[in-house]
Amino acid sequence: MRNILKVAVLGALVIASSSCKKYLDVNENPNNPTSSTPNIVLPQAILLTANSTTAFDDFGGWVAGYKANAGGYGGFGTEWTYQYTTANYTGMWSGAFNAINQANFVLSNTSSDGPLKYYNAMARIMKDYNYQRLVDQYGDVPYSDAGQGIAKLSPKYDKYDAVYKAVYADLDSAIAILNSPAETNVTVNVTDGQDPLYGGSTAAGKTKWVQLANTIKLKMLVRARKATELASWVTTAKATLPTTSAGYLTDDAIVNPGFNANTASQFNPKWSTNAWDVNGTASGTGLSRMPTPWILSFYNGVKLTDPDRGKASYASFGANVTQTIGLTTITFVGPATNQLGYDVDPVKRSVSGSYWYSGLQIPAATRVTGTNANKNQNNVGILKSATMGQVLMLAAESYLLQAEASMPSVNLVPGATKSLFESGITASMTYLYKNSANSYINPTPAATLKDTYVAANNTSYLANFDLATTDEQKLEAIITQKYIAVNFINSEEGYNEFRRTGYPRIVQGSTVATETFASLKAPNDLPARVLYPATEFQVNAENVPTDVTTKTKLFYAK
Amino acid sequence: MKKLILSLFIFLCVAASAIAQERTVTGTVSSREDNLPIPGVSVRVKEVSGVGTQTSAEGRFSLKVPASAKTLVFTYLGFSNQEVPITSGNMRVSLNPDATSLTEVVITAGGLSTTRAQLGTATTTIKAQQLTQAKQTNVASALTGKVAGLQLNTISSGVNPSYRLVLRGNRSLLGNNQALVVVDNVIVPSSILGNLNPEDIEDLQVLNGGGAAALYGSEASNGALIITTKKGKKGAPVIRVGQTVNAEQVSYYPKLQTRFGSGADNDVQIYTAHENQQYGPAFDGSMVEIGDVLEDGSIQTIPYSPNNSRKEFWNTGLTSQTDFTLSTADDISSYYVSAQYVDTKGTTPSDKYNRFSLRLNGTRAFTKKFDASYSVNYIQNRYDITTATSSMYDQILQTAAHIPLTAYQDWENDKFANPNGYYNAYYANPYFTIDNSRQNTRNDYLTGNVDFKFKATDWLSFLYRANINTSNSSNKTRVNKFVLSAYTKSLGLSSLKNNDIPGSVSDGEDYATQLFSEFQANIKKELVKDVRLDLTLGTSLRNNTAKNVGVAASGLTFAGLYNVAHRLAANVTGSESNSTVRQQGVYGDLRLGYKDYLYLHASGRNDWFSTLPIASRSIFYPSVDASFIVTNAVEALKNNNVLNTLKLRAGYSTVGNVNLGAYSLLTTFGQSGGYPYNNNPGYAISSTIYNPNLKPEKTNGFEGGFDAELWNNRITASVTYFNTRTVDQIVPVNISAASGFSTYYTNTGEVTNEGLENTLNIVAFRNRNWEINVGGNYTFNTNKVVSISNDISRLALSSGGTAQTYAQAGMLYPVLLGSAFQRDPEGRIIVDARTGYPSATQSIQYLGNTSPKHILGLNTSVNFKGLRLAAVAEYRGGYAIFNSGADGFEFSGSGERTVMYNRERFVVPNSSYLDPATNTYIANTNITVRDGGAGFWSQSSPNRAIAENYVTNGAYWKIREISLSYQLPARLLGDLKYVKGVNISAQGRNLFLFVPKENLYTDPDYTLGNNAIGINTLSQTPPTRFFGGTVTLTF
Repeated sequence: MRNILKVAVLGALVIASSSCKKYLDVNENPNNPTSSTPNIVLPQAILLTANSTTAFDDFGGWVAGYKANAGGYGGFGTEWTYQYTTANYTGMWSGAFNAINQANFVLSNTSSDGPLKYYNAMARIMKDYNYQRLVDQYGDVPYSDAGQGIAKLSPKYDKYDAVYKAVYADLDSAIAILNSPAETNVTVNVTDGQDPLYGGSTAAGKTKWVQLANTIKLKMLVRARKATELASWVTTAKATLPTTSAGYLTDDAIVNPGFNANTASQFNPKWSTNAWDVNGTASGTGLSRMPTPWILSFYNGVKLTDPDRGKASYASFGANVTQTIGLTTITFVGPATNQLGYDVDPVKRSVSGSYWYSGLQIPAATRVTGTNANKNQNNVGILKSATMGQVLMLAAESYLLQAEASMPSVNLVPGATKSLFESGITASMTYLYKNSANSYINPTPAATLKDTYVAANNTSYLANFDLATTDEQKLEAIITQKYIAVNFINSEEGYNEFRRTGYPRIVQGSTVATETFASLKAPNDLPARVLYPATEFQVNAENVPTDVTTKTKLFYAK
Repeated sequence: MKKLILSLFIFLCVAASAIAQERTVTGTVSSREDNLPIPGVSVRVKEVSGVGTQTSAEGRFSLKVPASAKTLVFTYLGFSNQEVPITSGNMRVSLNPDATSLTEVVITAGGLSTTRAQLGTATTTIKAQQLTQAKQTNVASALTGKVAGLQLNTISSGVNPSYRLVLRGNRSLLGNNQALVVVDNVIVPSSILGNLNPEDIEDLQVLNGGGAAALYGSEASNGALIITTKKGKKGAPVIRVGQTVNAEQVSYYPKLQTRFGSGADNDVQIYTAHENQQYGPAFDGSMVEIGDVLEDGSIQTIPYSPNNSRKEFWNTGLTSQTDFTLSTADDISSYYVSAQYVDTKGTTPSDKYNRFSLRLNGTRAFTKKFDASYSVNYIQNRYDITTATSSMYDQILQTAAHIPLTAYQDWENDKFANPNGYYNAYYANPYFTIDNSRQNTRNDYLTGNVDFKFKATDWLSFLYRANINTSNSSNKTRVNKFVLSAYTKSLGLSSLKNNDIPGSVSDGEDYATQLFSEFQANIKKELVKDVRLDLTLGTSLRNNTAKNVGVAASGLTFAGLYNVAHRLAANVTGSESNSTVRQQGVYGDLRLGYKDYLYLHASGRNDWFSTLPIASRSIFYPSVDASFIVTNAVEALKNNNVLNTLKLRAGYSTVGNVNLGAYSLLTTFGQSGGYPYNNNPGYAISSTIYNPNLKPEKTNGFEGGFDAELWNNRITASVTYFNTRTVDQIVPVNISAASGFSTYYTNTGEVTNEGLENTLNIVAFRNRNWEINVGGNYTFNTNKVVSISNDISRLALSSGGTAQTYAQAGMLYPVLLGSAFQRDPEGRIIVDARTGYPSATQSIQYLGNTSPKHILGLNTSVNFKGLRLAAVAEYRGGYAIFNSGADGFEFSGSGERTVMYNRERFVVPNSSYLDPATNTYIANTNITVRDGGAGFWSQSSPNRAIAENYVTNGAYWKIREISLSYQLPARLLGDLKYVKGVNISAQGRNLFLFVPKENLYTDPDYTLGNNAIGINTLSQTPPTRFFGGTVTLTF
């Protein structure tokens, strides 16, 4: 009997332990891959970079006077008071780092001289683009410790100047890789589908990537010029900048992986945030936000006259609009606007699809709405359709950066300042009259629109560059035109440049809607910056700078 | 009849004279619990030793007794001994079940059985009668108030509410805290409690702590409910048929104001005909128009005075329950067959639910050494419910008191109820919402188990057990399409009246199957004199496989046709997930008994998990406990009538909780951002990383206490102190996004639980016809978060509103943190010197703990002959709840709080304002709020955004159950030859709820699920009471 017991118990234990490993090895994930390859991650690095631009644009839109609260909606706390907490605008930080993490994956699985070297170069440029934006918004950021996962759960912060220098050098490396020839039967080319920005490592694609890298470099030097820690570095670093305009972006850098108006998840993110969803339901965000009287003053003749860009950018531009709000019926010239912070009834209401969907079509037709708007390929303007691409950087910004850099007092690159300035305006006209397929479809050439514009404003040095006689006036004209060009596209650039140059000019402390873009609720309290996100204080407390307030100026600020 | 009695009399006389001084006593013995006869009861004469017999299969006995015999003593395992004076004629004896007797056999973890005397840990036994007395359809809800240490919360209301059942408080921060549920040795998902037929349950052992359940190792940390279902009883087949009908009615409705009608303006009370907000003029009985002019020119005109339709909106629900059971057994086999059909119509109009269950339990002895038991249980349920409960509830609250809400049921034909013509411009007709958003769900469950036992010798036996537990379900969720008329849109009223509803449909199917096998060897032997060994060694394998697939489309082509094939947009979205989890365990369970008073128990289990990293997937869980029966050990205490038994017990255990699903060790890649585009994939690395050395959460616990029976076993008392420490909690810690990831799964954090569980039951009065029992249980519980991690001190358990449930280091677990009033150093509310408005703090503040510190259950039963009255009441206190429906109550202006000051300007009580000259806070006696109407109550910053306004004391008293049943006396059955018994009962559940005045909202039991207890929302419909009746026939 004792034997029976022994055998039984031992048998059970032996079976249990010997079969253990095999029996338990079932933890291989059948739902999602746990490894990947650079060629299918690079598209995400590019798309997530493009998608993260919406968080930056949203911040700039509020703080730089491009948008305000619409009637019928309340609760815009810090947008009105600028009393930012660590919970405000954290999407800029998390979105950029998420994109950087995709780029890092590509970088750690490729090398600068291996078969996937072009993947490596493109990932570098995406990473650098994100870092440049982060530093311009936050100053010091984690760089050398960043992106290492478990190895560095609490990455240390690097000084903004060190990050700037490293990013600049990395852009140079990326350019060198892209300029190196492909090795036959070795180098794997980036395909069209893997590069939603420039269609892969064709000759044309590589040229455009290099142009983008150079434009980022130029932007960094323009911004770093006045920072004491970087001034001497700028004078040496500028040696690697191209000396002709062709070396920089000549066309808008637009990411479009194939946005599709029939699939909810494949909508352009900016469109779905502001316009309609796949079922034609109007977005609440679009309905609760409106342009400001301030920004309209650059189109409607108060400061500048600009009907061509005005009607492309805004619904009902220049037309009479009637709204019944409560018991009051009001009629005004469209679009409806509201001063930031104004909340005493009647506040004008927004429209379905938002005012930034002008609905302007070439050839002209009425503003279509809902699912028809999602699909319409003839729309131009800021919000074109659900299939429009997402802007990384406008050619207008490239030209206006060059215009500033070519001013003798700046002296970063040679060039004809006025011509570059006007190219900037032309490029802005070009973008606004492109359709979703990125084709300019206005029968009137953009250069003609620019000429009309300059002529219509020939008494203002903000448009007629010949009237800008001093360097300061030239700078004001360049920056003001950039402020107009990035309206609701890369709005944060409008605020970055305002912080750096003080342009467009505002009347400090005024409550007059066209004299300042500051909130009525806090006209003297424009913030110098956003705060580091709350999670950094919770989980990276030993490293996050603690002496930063919304009044702490960034390195490039005036 | 007379003849019969006469002949009997003669027979007795003859018998008496024939056998000198002897007579024959006959009678039947039945159980007081179910009135069924008990076979095998020992019957002996008290006064004369050696005279006795046993009852037959029909419960009858016949015994010749000497003249000196005065009293018969009846004894049967599991029932209290009973002494009955000998009477002439057929004696009818009912035995009382005895759940506390030391010799009672109880089933413990792993299906092992032992006597109550040997248990070194706290357990509570709930008998079938206690479970089913109020005819609950859900086993979980039938337990509340009856078990010390148990806290039950309702996490979803409706036709089949789901409950959260926690023993000894929450201990895991983010993992499961619900008790393990074991039915006939099969570990089942806790959702089975809502589907199991309560009539099938023989008894339910509550293993309160980890120590008692330690044999389950990695699943034991939350205690366990060990459910044993009925087996066929020896004797002729007994068939029972029962029919229950219960009505369900809203028992507690939030306090709504009935003084002011539609209007939304600040500062002035202006009537607005299509307004949802109720800040208009006071009701005056005049005729007013509501809504806007319809396309045909008509408009509704109604009296401007309040009605009760917001409450009348809720239906009286109806539950019909039909039960059938058959039980029979002979010497070698037994059968128990049951069926139950439950059909429910809810209080929400149109919501329906039904459930059908079937069970077969059997045993069979093949030889003297080899026997088997088996069970099969099939359950199916069907839901037809709305998915828009919280929208519907909100829409009701956004309806002014003068609106005849119940008149709008027929939205298809009534132009004023149709979305085009409904008066409210901002909130839809709730009847339309209910009909337009619906879900049909079917769930099928099958559980099967077989046990083979081989008794090799009288001290050695083997057991092999295999079972399957599988669930299959499918569901269809849809929102119907609705196109508004061009006229409605042309009014330009609101997005509700402008936007068509595109409609959507989603379909899902899933299954989950668990296969389990277990082998045990058991040795029972007297090692040396007085020392008995009971050793079980076992090994088990468990495999859980699950899959679900879903498909969805939006934009329906046709109204009323819900199929993903018929849609406007090109794409269909789909999802799929699969998982397989395996677990392997080896365990040993050792009991040593010395004489009849000292018992030691130790168990050890080693588990291996497929979900853990290979290096750390083997975990060992030990436990020890001991019990000492003082009254058996100390000679002087033996056999005394005051202290019948006193048992001391103590135990220590380590148990676990694998709070980690399959495939949670490696970072994954996924297609996001709309990828794939045009056949091009794009994979992003996810933002979650995992500690490569993850291990299960560990709970170390101590418990100690005593059980006592006093005064001829009429008083039983039990006290248990417990103290547990749960460490290595698996927590997704937020990390710096700059690390490349945002979430990091790691072991961190510590929670302690400490408390007292006390039970007292008294047989207050007992004689042949009467028995009155009163009992109570009281639990004191404190759960505390000691730490979370070095980096974080706070974990949010919920998200979304102005206050949330958190685990916060150094505080009770869980706590409410949220926005509070800005207060001055003296604690007064700071108001703005101009507007008189208070404001919210910037950072979140402590607003209260959400787990009750005190739970008191009271129960009583009164038996008189065949009549039984039973009642259960429950008190909870020492905690706070957050009522998150502020928008519904105060934005709308329907809440009672908004008329606290008659909609007039008022001074915020106990407030102060800052005097800029002196920079000090001055008591505010004269600055009234700028507006006493919509400008204050409906506004976010001075009112609604301050969560403190909606945090109330969670205390309550509830009358949980009252039932009255009557077993018809046999004589009334008369000639009903085949009917052996008739039982009629009436019962009510949750009849009354008493809450403090400040709680204007709902039953504090209603709470968010997971671990985020303490927040109730509008997705939970108002609490209800049930009452009804049952007829049971026994054949």
